[in-house]
Amino acid sequence: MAAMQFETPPAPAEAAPPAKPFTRKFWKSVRDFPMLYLGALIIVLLILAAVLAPVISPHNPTTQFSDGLTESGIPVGPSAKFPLGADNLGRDILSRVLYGAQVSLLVGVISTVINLVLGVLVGTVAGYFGGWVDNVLMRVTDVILAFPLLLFAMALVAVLGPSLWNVLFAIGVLGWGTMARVVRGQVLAVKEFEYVQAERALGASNTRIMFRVILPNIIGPVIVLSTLNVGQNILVEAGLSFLGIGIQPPTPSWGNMIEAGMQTYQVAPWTLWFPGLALVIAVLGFNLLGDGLRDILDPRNTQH
Amino acid sequence: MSVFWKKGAAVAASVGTLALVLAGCGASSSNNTTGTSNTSSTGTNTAAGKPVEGGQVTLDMIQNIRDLDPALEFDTASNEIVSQMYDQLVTWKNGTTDIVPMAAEKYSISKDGLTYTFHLRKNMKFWNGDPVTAQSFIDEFYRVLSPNMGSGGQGFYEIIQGADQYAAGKTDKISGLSAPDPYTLVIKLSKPEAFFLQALTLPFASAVDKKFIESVGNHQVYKKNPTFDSTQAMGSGPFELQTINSNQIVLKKNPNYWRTDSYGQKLPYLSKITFNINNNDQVDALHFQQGQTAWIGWNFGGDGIPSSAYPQFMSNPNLKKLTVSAVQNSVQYVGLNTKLGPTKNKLVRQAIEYAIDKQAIIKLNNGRGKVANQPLPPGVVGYDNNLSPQAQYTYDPNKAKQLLKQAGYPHGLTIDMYSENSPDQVKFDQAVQGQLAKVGIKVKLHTSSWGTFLNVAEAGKAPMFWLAWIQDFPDASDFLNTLFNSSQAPVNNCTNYSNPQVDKWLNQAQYSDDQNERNQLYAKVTDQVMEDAAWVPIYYDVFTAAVQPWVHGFYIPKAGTDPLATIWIDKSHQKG
Amino acid sequence: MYAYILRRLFSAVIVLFGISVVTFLLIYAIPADPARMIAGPKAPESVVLTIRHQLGLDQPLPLQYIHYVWRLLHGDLGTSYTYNLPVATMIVQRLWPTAELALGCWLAELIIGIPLGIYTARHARRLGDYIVSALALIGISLPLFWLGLLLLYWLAYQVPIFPLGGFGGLRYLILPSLTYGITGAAYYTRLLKSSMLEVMQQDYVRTARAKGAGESRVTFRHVVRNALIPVVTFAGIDFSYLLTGVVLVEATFNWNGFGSLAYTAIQNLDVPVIMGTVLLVAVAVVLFNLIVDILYSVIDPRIRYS
Repeated sequence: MAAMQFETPPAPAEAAPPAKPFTRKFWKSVRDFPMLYLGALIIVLLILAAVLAPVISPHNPTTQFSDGLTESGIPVGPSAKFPLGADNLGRDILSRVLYGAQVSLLVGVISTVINLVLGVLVGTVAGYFGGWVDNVLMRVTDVILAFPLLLFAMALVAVLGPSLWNVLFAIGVLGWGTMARVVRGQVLAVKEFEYVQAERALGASNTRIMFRVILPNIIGPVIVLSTLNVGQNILVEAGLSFLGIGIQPPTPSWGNMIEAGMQTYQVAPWTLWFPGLALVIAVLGFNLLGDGLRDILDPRNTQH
Repeated sequence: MSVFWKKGAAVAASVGTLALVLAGCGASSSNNTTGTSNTSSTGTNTAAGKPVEGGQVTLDMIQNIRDLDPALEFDTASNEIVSQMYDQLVTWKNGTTDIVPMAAEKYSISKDGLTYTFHLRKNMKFWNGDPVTAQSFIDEFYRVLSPNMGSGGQGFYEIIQGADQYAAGKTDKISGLSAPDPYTLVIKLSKPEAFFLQALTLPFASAVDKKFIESVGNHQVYKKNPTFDSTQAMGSGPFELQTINSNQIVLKKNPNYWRTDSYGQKLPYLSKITFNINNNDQVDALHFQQGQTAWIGWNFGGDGIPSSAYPQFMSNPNLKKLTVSAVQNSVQYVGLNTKLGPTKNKLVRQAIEYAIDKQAIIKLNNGRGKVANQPLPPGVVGYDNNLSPQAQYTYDPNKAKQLLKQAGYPHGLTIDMYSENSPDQVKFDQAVQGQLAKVGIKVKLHTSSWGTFLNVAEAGKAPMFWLAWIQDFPDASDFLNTLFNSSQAPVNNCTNYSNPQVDKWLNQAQYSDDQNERNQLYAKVTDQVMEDAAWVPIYYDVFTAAVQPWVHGFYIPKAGTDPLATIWIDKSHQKG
Repeated sequence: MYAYILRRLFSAVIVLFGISVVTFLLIYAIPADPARMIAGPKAPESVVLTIRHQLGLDQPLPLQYIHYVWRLLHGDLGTSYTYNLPVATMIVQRLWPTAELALGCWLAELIIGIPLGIYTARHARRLGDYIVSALALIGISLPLFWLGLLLLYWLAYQVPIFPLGGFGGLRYLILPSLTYGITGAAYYTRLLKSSMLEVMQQDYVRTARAKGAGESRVTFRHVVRNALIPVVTFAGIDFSYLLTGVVLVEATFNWNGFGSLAYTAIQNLDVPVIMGTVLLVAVAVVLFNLIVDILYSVIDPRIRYS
């Protein structure tokens, strides 16, 4: 949703200043763009958590400890053995939150890559060729955009059967509409520029012009949108898992942990707090990074 | 856990007038009420006095209603509703397991045990005014036994003369059913059967208005014996169906119901009951705590307070005193399909028996339940106290691994498990999943709503599933014959268990009137079934209900649903 | 203008056609046999065959599609497998609760979002702006269902001010609306802020200010009014998000509406209900955006040329 700003006519690529050499004035740039670096830091930590989960988790995320539940079957709270408490089956929440990062990142990133490929392809072709090609592709995009992503993904996952790969596939295949629209708009603006016309006069093939000449010039908004998209897709996955049609147990995902927490939050609120907190921080990381990148790449949107 | 796959459960709700000693104080049912405190208004609260007519209650229901047709309904959720709408020939005496007359004013059984004669009440009417006659019952037997209907109750009545031929589609007539006059029904059996009267308490044996069914029924699918669709009902019972949709059922009082209490007041007392279907059991528990709903009982899938809310009820003294619990004749089990998937292999099934830690699962249910070692609950005559060693399994993951290796799965295997999707059930499923993972069995869970799940399980298409069975009547045959006779597969015998020797014993026990002999036969069956490992019996239920202090006349029936017809409310007289 | 409206209508029809094709294909991609689902597991094969024939499931796919559209045009969305009720009836029963909820959510977004937008624009690059912007970013990052549960925990369970979910009067509406409002308001805040900052640069605003109009007067009479136009357009796009968000809000607050119908249907693999709801939402989104676009073109003629 954060991509909305791009619905308004995009900034022409030539308006973007040459990227600053990051390495030179690192600290200055941290001071100039605190959001960007905070976002990047969060994402780095997230990646570390996901990659190192098997090493740093205190327990196996699926082991059901009998001392994770009280005698009457209530999850135990935070303790030395279970730093963030145990869940409704006596499993260690910290370990599950760490492993949950794997699922969120995997789904968020890969589905975004699928969005990106489809969106850029459709948007570029539509914008470049125009005419009936544009018309057909944009009506297809309209159809895709008419279905709210979560609801449509719910239906598709129901058809395919809930599993990690199907969730990933559904979000990837259904979520490219906004990207296509934004890319098309950018291409429309860029293709009239002289250097594009010049390439054409020199006899470059359409493919070359589209992907070698135009694409590099619109890469900024595409990167920003993709970054924000990762956060959104993580939320959609969590939503699906929360509804019970996403990642299936025993695989921990923050969404299905919150769903389980919904059953116990009154007697054991920590079952709800930590997976949700992890989810917010992760999504916030991508939103910060996306907004920060926008500030760098598109000065017109700068709000500072 | 509301996983009860149960059959038409006894109709303890609709108790005959005779049974109502002190109306409204339907004395705390079962002897085995281990209950706390005073909830079930055991006459100690005579302050409440004479029952008050009128008023309405709202109840939450955790499962959707699958069938409203008494010939088809065979699960706890549907049963709660259908039981209120139909009358049977005989029923259970209030909170006991004794049979008393109901629609039949009196009945007699011939010496040879083959002929049952019922004399019906003459003032009974369906809601639309059509009279209830002997033919109303005969029509229902024809429907239940019809080869096209697929009723789960068929097996109970095939003992009627000519019924097996009719059920097989060979004849058009059931010779054992006759009505010499409109208010006399004669049923002739082909063999004597010790528990035939008990089978007549089930909603399968209700009076139905054939004229009405034919006018509204589904003729496309069932030409000869149309069924109600799930929005229609026409009974003679205490409550009429007012509206039904996917999230709410409203029953209203049948003002012309024939039963009266000991004060001569007409039953039922309540004028309206609203059931909200609400899959979120936390919210359901809170609705009760906030006083919005009248009780949590059978309407929760036959299991009372959901486990996620149970700790709260127990830790809050104000709530705790509103609870009452009783051991139930029911069993929770994991079924292992003997004809489908890797569980075809007996060694795999036995490995699963060793791999499941029943105590851990009971803990997840807040300790409510007793470890089960066989399909029969200890409260039912025929329970086998001396299981053979081959029929006993203890929790032993190493033994399980070893058996799997023997079965040809040294590197593990994957099994699909089906169940209902209530939160508690999903929790148990995950426990099973985790326990089996330890021995190398990967369990893929398929959870769906109650009705959808039953569609798979009752078609015999679930390789592994979690179900429960509550008695229809307290006889071993209702567990062992119904669940393991190959003739009951797959609708009731969902594991497709089939063993000719077991069938032979079961049939022999079915028609024997020597209880000792029957017990011995059932012990043999139990040993064999357990050795064949068609089931992993998990635990026997302890039922815990919670009832508002202004609800009077509630009790936990020994079998069956909430006693809606005799419940009354009076907010000025609160118990406790 | 009429040419624009006609063109816009035509493309809406094309999109609706596309939507019907997609839902149709999804129905038939689902492996479960509809005839078997309707007949129930116990019905004999002959019954299943009869139903299959009655439904025309034995006909070629294009023909089935034509029948499908024909039925849709007659308001027939099929029959639920689980409840045996017409899907259209089931949806209609759930429309009101969802409409009420959606309205509440939308109002909450505006009530929270617009004042904050005005505030941040007037205090741009000051501390207040940074705080609100940071909060807005957090709001966007919050999962609806989690926030909803937290609010339930604090404001309904710990301090029992509000009911713990369910559908009823205004009291029931407040927490779900607040939940959605908090997560959705940020879009309005950001949009209004940037739009206001842009308007403030316009000549007529400078003129008004030069004429000595008070700051509040300038803000509300001139800036906000003009800056609201893109916000109104966004409401059209937001409609689609609202319908998605409502599914999660309904699941969290146990609100028996349209969203929970879709959600239950998906769990039951009740295909006609799933597709009925998905189809209806998509159609609603298309029609709503069509209406917004047409109204917009009437109000602001410049739009036709873009």
